[in-house]
Order: sequence, then C-alpha cells, then structure tokens
Amino acid sequence: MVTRRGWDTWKLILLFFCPALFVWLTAMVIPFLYGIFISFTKWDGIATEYTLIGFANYVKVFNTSKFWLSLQRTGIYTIGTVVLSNVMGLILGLLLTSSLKGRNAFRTAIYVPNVVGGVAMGYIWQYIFSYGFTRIGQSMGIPGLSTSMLSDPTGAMVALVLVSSWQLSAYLMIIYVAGFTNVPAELVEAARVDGATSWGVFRNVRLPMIRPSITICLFLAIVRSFMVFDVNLSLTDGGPFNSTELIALRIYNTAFVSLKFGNAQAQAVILFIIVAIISVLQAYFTQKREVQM
Amino acid sequence: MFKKLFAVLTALAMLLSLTAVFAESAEHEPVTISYYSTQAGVDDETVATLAKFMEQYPWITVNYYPCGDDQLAAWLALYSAKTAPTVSLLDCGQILNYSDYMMDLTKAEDPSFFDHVLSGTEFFQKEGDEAIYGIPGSYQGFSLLYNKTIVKAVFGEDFDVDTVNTVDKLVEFFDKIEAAGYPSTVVFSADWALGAHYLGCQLFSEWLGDKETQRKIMADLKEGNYNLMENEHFNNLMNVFDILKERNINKADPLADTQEGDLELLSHGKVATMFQGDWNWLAIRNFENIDELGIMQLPLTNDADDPRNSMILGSCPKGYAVDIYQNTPEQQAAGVLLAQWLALSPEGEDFMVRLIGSTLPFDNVTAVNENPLAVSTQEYLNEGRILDCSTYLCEAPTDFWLVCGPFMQAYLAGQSDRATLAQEIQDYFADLD
Repeated sequence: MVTRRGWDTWKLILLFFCPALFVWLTAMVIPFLYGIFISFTKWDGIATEYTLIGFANYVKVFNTSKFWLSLQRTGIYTIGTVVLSNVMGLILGLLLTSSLKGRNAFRTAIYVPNVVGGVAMGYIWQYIFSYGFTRIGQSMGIPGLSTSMLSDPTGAMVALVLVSSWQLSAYLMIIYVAGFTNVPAELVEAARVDGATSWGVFRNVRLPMIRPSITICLFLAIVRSFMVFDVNLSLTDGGPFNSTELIALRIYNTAFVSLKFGNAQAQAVILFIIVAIISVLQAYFTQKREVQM
Repeated sequence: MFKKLFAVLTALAMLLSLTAVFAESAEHEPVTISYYSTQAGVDDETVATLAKFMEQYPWITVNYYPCGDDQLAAWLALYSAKTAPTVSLLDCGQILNYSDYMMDLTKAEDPSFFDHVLSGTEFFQKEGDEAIYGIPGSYQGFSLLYNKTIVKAVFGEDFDVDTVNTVDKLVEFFDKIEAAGYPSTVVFSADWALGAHYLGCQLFSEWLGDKETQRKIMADLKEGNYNLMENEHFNNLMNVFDILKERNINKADPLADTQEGDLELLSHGKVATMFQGDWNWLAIRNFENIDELGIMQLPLTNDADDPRNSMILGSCPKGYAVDIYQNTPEQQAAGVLLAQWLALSPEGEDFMVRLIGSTLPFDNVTAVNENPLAVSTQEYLNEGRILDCSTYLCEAPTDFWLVCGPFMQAYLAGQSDRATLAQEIQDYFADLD
C-alpha cells in the first residue's frame, strides 16, 4: 500500500518528469519510430496511406555504390574534423586557462564562430575561399592560392574540414576550459616541485585529469561530424561534382529532390546505427582510461 | 453649380460601387485560403498583390506562405501540418508529381479562363490524362545571352545575330570578338544550369523534338536503348560545349564562378556571351546598361537551313495549382478565383511581367516588360522560333539535374571525358526505379 508520503513523492516525481517526458517523446521518440516505419514504405511525402514494401529500401541502399561512397567521404571528413577540432579546442582551452592577459575577452572572441549559424558561416567562407584567397594568390603570384580550393575535390574536402573544425573547436574549447579549471592546483604544484617540465605537467598531470572532457568532446565531435548538413550545404553544396556530398546532404537530396522518402529514411536509419555503434564504442574505451580521484 | 453637381455624382458613384462590393460580399460566406509561392525574394510585393486581390474579393482572406531555400520541403511541411496551401505556385514537374492532390482545373466552375492561355496548359497534363492540373505562371526562354554593346563594337551597328546560324559561324563570331579584345563567353558552372538547361533541355528536345519525341528519348534511355556516344545530337551538343569550355573566361578555374558574378561580367561588358535564361531579371535589374542584353540562338550543326539553328529554347517553368486534399470545396472555389486572378488579371500580370520580368503565354497581356531578355524571348515566341522543352522539365526524373549536373561539371573541369559522361548518364537512367 502506498503511504501518503510515498504518494506525495510520486506526485513530485511526475510533476517534474512528465513535461520532460512529453517533450522527449513527441520531439524525439515518436518521429524516430515514425522514421523507421517510413523506411519500410514507398511514400510520396503527403499521403496518409503508405505502401509497405518490406526491406526493399534497405536492399536498394545497400546496393547503391553512391551511398557507400558518401559514407566513406563522411568517414574521412569525420576523422579530419574530430582530430583537428579537438586538437584546436585542447590548445585553446589550455591557453585560455593559463595566466594570459585578457583571457576572458579571448574566450568570447574565439567562441563567436559557434554562435554564427552553420549556413551563414558556410556562405561567408565560400566567399573567402572563392574570392578572398584567390585574389591574394593572384596578386602575389602564388599558384596554389590562385584557384579556389572549392573547385578541387581534395581542396573542397580540406576546406570543409577546416571550416567545421574552426566552428566546432570553439564549442569544445569551453568544455576543455572547464576540464582544465577543475584540475586540482595542488597536483600541478606537486608535479612542479618534483621537477616536472611544463610538457611533463601537461602530459602526466593535466591530460589524464581531463579525460572526462576528452570523452565528451570526442563524442560530441563524432556525432556532429557524422550528422553535418548546414556547412556542407552552404560551403560546397556537395561539389565539385559531388565529391563532398556527405551522408546527411545525400539523405536530404534523396528525400526532397529525388522524392524517395522511404529510401532516404532507410539511409538515415543505417546512419543512425553506424553512429550509435561508433559513439558507444568510443565512449566505452575512452571512459575506461579516465582517472578516478 | 457644375462643381457641386460633379461632387454629388462622384459621391453617388463611390456609394454605388461600395454598395456593389458589400452586396457581392453579402452573397458569399467569408472564406480563408492560403497561397504558397516558390517565387523567392519578392515577399513584400507578393503580399501587396494579394492585398489587391482581397480588396476585389472582400469575402476571401488570403494567408501567404513564402518559400524558403528548400522550396519543396517547406511545401511538404505544410501538408504534414494539415495546412496545405489552397493555391501553390510550383514547378510544373512538382505539380505533375503531386497531381493526385491537385484540382483538375477543367472541372472548375467556370474554366473559361483557359481561353486566354495561348500555350503551356498541355504541360500540366499527365500522359494519357485529359485533366489539367495547373495554370501556366510564365514562359521562359534561354540560350546564348549576349551583350549588344560588344557585338556592335566588334561587328558594327547593323550586325544581325541571326546570321550566326552554324557552328562554324559561331566559332568565327567568337574569334572576332576575342580578336577585338573581349572574352567571348562565360560558362556558368552550377549543377542545375549545366544539368537541367545545357544538357537536359537540349538533349531531350532533340531536333525540333515535340512532346512525344522527348518522352521517347527518356523512355529509350530508361530501357537502355539509347546509346549516347553513337547519337549524333548528343555529340553535336558536346562539340559545341567543347567550344564554350575552351573559350570560357573562367577556364583556369571553371567551377569557382557564381551566377551573380557571371551575370555581372556579361552586363558590364566584360564578356560577350553566356548560356543562360531570361529568368535572371531580379539579379540583373540593378546593373547598368541592362538594355544592352539580348538572347541569340546557339547553333549545334553546320547546316544553315536547319531550323534548330535559328531557335532558342523555351519552357513553361511554373504554374498555379489548387489543392483538393486538405481544402474544403469553398476554399477550392476561392482558390480557383485566386489562381486565375494571379495568372490573368492586370494586377497579377503586372506582378509577373514588371516585377519578375517574365514572359506570359496569355492573349490579354498589357503590362510592359522591362526585362530586355524577356522581350527577346517574346520576339522569338512571336516568330515561332522557340524549341519548347517543357516536357523534359515536367516529366524527367526530378533529380536528373542533381545527378547529371555534377557529371557535366566534371567534364567542364577536365576531370572526365565524353565517353565517361555518356556512360554516367546512361547508368543513371538504367538505375531508375
């Protein structure tokens, strides 16, 4: 039998839990399940009646070389972006927790790219790559800079990684700053007293102590990179000649240009499974290396 | 005395017209409908035009849904939200794709408005179906845009571009322009421009290809019965593309251009020609000397008597459609009124002609077009020198340009050869469901 006190506790739990549960269910779970359902249908995007076609969309996706090519590109992009954004975020986090003059101003300034929307930023950088750098290259006679990076497949992918890393590192920097700030000063002090160099302090004291930050930053970077859409759309739009069409943009085009909604959803479900497996594995292995105080 | 009489008569006239409006309003139940337009960048003007409609039909309230960058996604979102727009201005291909949800306008209460439509209604019909699902919204012409100032400076005031009606004469035309110190052409490299307009419209229109010809080519490609490398028309098309590619002002970096940048080069006399269409009015209207722009044909063979070499391409790109899926019969009836008013009323025509700079395929157009390119299209239309490729635009797979445009980009950038391009296009059709 539930006591009055127990009932009050349940009411309190429901009061706080239900609104969040409602939002989570309606905004995340139901659309997700609906998406899985769509992947088993042939649907035109409007009808309330669906033609169930079993696994035909999945079979088609698995047999489409362009899907795998796009996934491969996304993998390359993800590796580049995860590594570069984390290295940049780590360095910035370290610098901005040192006794640097005006570090708060720097933190704000460096964080700004993350506030600018991905679409706006993509267009700004497109202009810089196409007109800014090329003008400099042409006027200074530098052949590598005279043509736009965006018109070469490798250059466009590098540009995509650079711009995404520039934006993402600002976000990761904040997490690294929090991590470095929480490293006990007495540990650093003790290491210095024992004669450790700055590099030694970083490698053997600070870095192990911020492993939880590294875990979460790697997780966020992997998920965001796999799902990237806005920068891809505005900076390269998949070009030149589809060489930078990452998986999210491909899914969008399959749905809204090719009008194959079931096929697009099947791609999205496969992407979800891949990202979930990679993220869980990454979180498991990096968490194992975390230092417990 | 005369002034007083005039004032009384004017007041009476105003009273009568107001009474007429109120009487008409009283006859109808108020109805609220919505309008979705894929004509981007003119939202304020669209709202002002709709306000004029609501003045004339006071019992109808129209809510306006502007499109975003992703026109179809935004439109579908309205259907998902159960707020389907009553009237939509959409690409003709989309209207046909979603014709199950659109009204057959021949069954409207009074379909006599079709009497004013000179051409284009057939492109809103599905194969083997008599129903018409849209009212044409405009007509557009495209081919080689040229700068008249440069042509006059190089060839003299009296030069007639119609004489450039063979490939050899085109080469000679370009040679002389370049000899005079002007770059001869710019190739706009967007996937949709190369895929849909240069390749799609020209390939499927064949020589003087009518609706059935265009359908047959698409069907043959799907069935694998069309070998592009052995096709004379495809090779002619690519031979001329090679000429444009070789003389492209952006040859060193052919994929780094933008539409605005290329149009600016053309309008400012920094390049003589550009393969594009008359739909660029909103982009060029603020440039200087825009009256010096015109459209000329792009010859594909060396036969001066081939009528194909004296024609530009044309199509009916968009139309007004009325939803029957989520709108009530009353809303549908009001929607038909709005659609025909937008297409055929002086106010609607003024919007499309003066603001958007479109050519209209109607017999009652009085608005004067300020877009010199549309004026040029109208001349070709009047002379029967337009090769219509609407069938391709309406009935080709919706992602043809998205998939095949990049193949053309690779060819333009020298990353692919003709045989590879042909194979890629054939593979695309072979892979269609």
